[in-house]
Amino acid sequence: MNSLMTPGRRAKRLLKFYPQPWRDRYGAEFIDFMEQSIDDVPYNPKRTANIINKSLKSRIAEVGIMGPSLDSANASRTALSTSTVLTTFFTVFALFYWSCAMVSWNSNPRVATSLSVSLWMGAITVSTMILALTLLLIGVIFVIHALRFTFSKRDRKFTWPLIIALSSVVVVLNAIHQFTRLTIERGGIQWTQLGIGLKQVAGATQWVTQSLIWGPSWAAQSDFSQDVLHISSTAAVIVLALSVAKLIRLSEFSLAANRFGRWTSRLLSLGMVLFILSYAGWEQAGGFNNAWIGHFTQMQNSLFFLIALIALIGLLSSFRANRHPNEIGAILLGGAKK
Amino acid sequence: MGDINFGANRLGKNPGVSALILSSLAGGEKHGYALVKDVADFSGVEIPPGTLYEALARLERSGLIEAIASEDRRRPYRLTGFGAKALSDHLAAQRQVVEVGQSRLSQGWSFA
Repeated sequence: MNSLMTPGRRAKRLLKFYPQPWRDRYGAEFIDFMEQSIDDVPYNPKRTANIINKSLKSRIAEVGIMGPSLDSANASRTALSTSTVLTTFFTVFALFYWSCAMVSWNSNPRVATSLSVSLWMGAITVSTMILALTLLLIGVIFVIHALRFTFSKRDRKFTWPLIIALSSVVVVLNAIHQFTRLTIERGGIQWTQLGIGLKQVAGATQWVTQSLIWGPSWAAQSDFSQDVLHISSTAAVIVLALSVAKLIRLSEFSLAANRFGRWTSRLLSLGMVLFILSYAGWEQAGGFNNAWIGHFTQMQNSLFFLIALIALIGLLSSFRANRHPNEIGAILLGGAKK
Repeated sequence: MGDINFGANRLGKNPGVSALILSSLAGGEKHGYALVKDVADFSGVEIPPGTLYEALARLERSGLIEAIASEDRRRPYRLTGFGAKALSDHLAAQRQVVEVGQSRLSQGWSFA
């Protein structure tokens, strides 16, 4: 099959391993290079392996996780879009773990909850709120920006990500409504009694988040409409995160927006780290001991390690932005003359 | 000691490949394939395509080389003044390593 392919077609196939910004910048000369290289040495597995290795590195760099992106002038935009996706997944889990802790906190009337457990509970609540509210703020800002841009400049670049993002919001809101129907039918949240109200919010959050996390695996165990709800709500959260990230990548960042992007992605990654540390502190202080619910299952512990890994990647991504040298640095350092 | 590190640091990650590319471009502007052939001729090192374009992107971003606008698919690159200075520093540091290594080898080693 390969022997029938021309050097040009083989070069184009290899080029596809690289991310779009790389292809835009180096695509034409890379194809020219590869055509000559294939003419000289038609088959060279080491050459192919080298291209695959370097193109994968380039793809990782392009999402801002490690190494400099080609789009280094907009490193904060890359960092913010990557942080938004990572933090959305993290926050679904964080809300689930927060709700488990909140439901069990101070729940045994026979045993008083220690001060340290209460303090760690406060830290968990604050970090979860930072993550959820910052994500909400990012979503609102970029959806409004895209709407304004679409209607005022009549540019269609935002149209599809915007439609997909807004549709996902509708599906997620419907899922939240469906999953919390039991709470609503029982008279809603009792806001007049803060302690009970907070527990009810935690209970509803636990039901929503565990449906989002494990819902798809429950499919075919209940009726068809429930299966559709479980699968579509999980998919909608993933699609929402990716479409908001796409809106961020498509937006033109001013200098101020670059600063906002850099600091917001750092805030998100620090929020994730604070959550992990607070939860570890809560567990060490005996958070589960006074609770009527048992310790985490092995699966929940494994998922906790997974989100710790997400937090680490988020930290790498946000703090690597704008750390790489550029032409301006070179000009300031001076050089030789011919 | 500090000079050696400084010379290598300015060439960034993988200074060996960077020095080969800069040395080739010091002889005049070249496009990717001509550059690889030139490096193979004077050093015997075959730079694979993935490594070449990774290094070109890094050197261009650091301002050590620049791409020349071209109508053709072949885009030539040339050394900048800053690149020439960085290469000169790097080679001076390497020369110092070569001199020290050769002098110590000549004192205690003999080669049949």
